[in-house]
Amino acid sequence: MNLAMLGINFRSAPVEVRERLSFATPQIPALLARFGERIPDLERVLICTCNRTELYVGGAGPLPSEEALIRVLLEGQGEVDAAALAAAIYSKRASAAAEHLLAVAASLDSMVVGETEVLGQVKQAYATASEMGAVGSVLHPVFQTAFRVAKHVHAETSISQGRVSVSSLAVEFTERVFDNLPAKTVMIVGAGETAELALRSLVDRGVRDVIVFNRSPERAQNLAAQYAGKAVPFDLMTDYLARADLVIASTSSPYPLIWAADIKRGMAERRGRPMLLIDLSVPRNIDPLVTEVENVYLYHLDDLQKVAAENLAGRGESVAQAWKLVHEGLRELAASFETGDLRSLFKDFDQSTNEMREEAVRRCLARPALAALPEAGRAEIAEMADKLMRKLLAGPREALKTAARNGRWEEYERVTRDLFRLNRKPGDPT
Amino acid sequence: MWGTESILTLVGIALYAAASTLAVAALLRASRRVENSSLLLAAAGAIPFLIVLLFHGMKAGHMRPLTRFEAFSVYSVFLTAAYLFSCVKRNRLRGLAAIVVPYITFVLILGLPVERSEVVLAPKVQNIWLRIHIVSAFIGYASFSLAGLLAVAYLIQDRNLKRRRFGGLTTRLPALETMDRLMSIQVGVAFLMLTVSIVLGVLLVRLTGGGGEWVTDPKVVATVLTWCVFAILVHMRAWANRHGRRVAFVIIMGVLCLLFTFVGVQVISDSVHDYLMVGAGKAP
Repeated sequence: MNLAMLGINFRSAPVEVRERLSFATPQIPALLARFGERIPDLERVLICTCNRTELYVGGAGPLPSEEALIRVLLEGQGEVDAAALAAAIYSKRASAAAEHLLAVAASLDSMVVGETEVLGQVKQAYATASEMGAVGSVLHPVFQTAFRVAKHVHAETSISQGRVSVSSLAVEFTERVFDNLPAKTVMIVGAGETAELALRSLVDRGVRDVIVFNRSPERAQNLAAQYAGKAVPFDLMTDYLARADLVIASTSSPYPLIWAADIKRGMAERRGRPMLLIDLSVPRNIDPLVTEVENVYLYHLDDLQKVAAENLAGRGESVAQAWKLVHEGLRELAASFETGDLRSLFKDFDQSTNEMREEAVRRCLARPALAALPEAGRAEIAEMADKLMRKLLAGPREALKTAARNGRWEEYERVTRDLFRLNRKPGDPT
Repeated sequence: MWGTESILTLVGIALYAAASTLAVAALLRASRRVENSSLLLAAAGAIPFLIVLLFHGMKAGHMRPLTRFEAFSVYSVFLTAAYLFSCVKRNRLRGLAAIVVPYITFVLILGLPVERSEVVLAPKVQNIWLRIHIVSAFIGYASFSLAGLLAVAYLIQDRNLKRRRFGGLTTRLPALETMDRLMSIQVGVAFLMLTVSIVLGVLLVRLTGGGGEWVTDPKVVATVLTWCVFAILVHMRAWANRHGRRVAFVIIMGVLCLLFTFVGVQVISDSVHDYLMVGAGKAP
């Protein structure tokens, strides 16, 4: 398949390098249009998530070099450390590129294996390119196969089961205690990143009553404004404890901010209604003794991370199964391309061997010794050459068909073209 | 001799036993499909018992239950109905079948063997009030037992969450708050029904000009005790707005009283109210 990809991801490059090649969603159509202007007749899809930027190109004609693609990609991106970028970028061609896309869409290449967001992002990238007419006979089947395989992977393996991020686990734990999240009051102490992520997940689940406590009143105001909550002075925190159903603490305080005695007082007013405390700070912000208070449940970052690790390990067992599905999809994809490729190789093959044969027969018959040969004899010679050629090539033809069926097409095609000095297919690597 | 009644009873118990096995399997394997099959089997299991009760009622010419078997059957059927209606249908609660269905199966086995239904009720108390008295008592028993089973699940979940056991059972039992809410609904229904039943019981005695013997009837004494626990619970919830673990504990204590009232007394005396019985099945 006449396909190539290049990209950069969380594994190949640190964020400082990655952000040079990061494009916001509204920028992508313009970028794809630029590719269309610089390199005509190029099919192209750009996938850009916070963990990766990948460009997939394909087409009927020769594919541009990696450098040419990077040049277009970097236009207008300002000064870039070329060496660092060159070291971070990976590129793949033909079936290796397709395999990579299939793995990315099935979230096998994700930071959190089994997450489902990446499939949506790949679909979005494909849709954007498709709307611009940037997708054709190469990228269309490749992406469709990727979507189909990803769907199978999520449905048939348990790769995406069990939550694996701390923020989603915080929501899950909340749901084990409370059943009516919109009626609950969430208290955020400190405004760490993880706490905010957890808060966002909770607000997405319908939590409306948010109280924010932070040493810096501005930060508290900002966070409260963002989630339609209320910022309350830090010193009043313990007074508000009785109102909170869920407390998420994440400050850099070196000592606990919430003590068992505070919780006991708060609980007296709550009359046994449960309270869930999630401590996302190191060192701990909530006195571990609060677990001894009745109807109070305390979890620390470590607990959440432990569950996340267990769930992730569970997913790991499904990874092999998922790869099997990817390889199956890849074989089907290759077979569909190879039916087209086989035809074109045989055409070249026939053309080249016919030329050789005709040339040999012509030269042979032009010899003075054969000048007197009657027409029937000339026809015999031509037929003999034809039969010889057919017999000679019957074996290789059969072997090529078998190779195409067994997924060794690319290797055989290269060897055949080398041996028979057939024209190299445009765009193939040398 | 295997009569139709015995065969029907055994079929019912077999269905409940199969339902229990599936309910436990569903909990272990977190399978909704298996749990649904279990609930279906439990619902099917109630039918043979209803048929047997109908037979007994037709034979005696008045509403049952009177014997231990009958009382346990009616209780089980009501409890199954209460669980399916209140927990499964209205609140889509999952995971509790593994506690409720085996419990019902156990009660049904306790109710064996099927006694002959010669025990009949004194004609003087056969009237509409008696029917209401019986039905409301059984709705009360079923609701309160359900509250007790919910309380057991609540305490299990509370313990798991406290001890940071996150896997398996913890994920399959309902949220604490859901169970807390349902417990109080069940207690409310049970309190109302038992109150109606007790008031009607007293009226019935008055109506029929009964003497003072009912005051010492074990069932009556135990019922009054249970009613007191209810009063405490309703007070805790309705007036003091208490939630959580302690409420669950008091409910379990109440259910133990109820089991004594209902099961214990039944096992000792073999009838619903001894002093009302006439006929061959009467306990000595």
